[in-house]
Amino acid sequence: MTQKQADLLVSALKKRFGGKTEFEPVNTKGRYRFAITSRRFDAMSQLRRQDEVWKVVDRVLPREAMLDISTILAYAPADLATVK
Amino acid sequence: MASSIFDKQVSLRPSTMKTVAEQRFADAEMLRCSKVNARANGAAYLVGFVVEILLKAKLVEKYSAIAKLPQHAVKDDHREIWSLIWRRHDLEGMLSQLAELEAYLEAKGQRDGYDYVGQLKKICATWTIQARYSSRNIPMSEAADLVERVRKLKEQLK
Repeated sequence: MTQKQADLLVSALKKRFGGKTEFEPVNTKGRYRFAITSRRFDAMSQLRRQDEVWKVVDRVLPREAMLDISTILAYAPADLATVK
Repeated sequence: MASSIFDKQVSLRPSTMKTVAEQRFADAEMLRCSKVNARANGAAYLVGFVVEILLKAKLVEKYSAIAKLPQHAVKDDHREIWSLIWRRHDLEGMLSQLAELEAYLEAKGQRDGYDYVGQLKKICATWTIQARYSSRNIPMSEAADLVERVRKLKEQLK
């Protein structure tokens, strides 16, 4: 995945879920890890969050770029508030 | 002396790991079939563990020489792999070391019309070993969803 594609995905995730999206490279071969924190995940199960997030990926990225996503972590703010 | 499940593992065999994965899946299935919400966390925990065992089996197959080493003999370059096999429960990290598995799942998924890669990444992002410490409870419907996804996936991870 190119940096431009990663930026494009961040924009699309931001538009769909609001909140905050961050990403970082996992290696030097264009593989990235994303993390979203959004209130829209408050009442969603973890799997449902994943389904919703990956729908956005399918919509904005070609399949080859999708394979370069290592993971997309989807947090509700309350999830992070409980980390001590 | 009779062997115990608590004996320290000193070697890992992929074929044995795959058998164990099936056994833990059967445990998860039994809990799911109870339809008791209080058993849902157990089902979800076990079924994620199934994925962990199968990914580790793939790592042991691919990096068999590293997997056989005692910790003190592991070179710096191989420490990440050894740690993923013997110490960690990091599904994302394991998958990142298995590019050929991802390629296989993608090709198989295109033939079957099922997104194995996407489902595996969703599960890797969802499941964590920390679930065993969680005091929260998920409903059985959520655990059942996870069990069904792993049921399809595990056949491709063997």
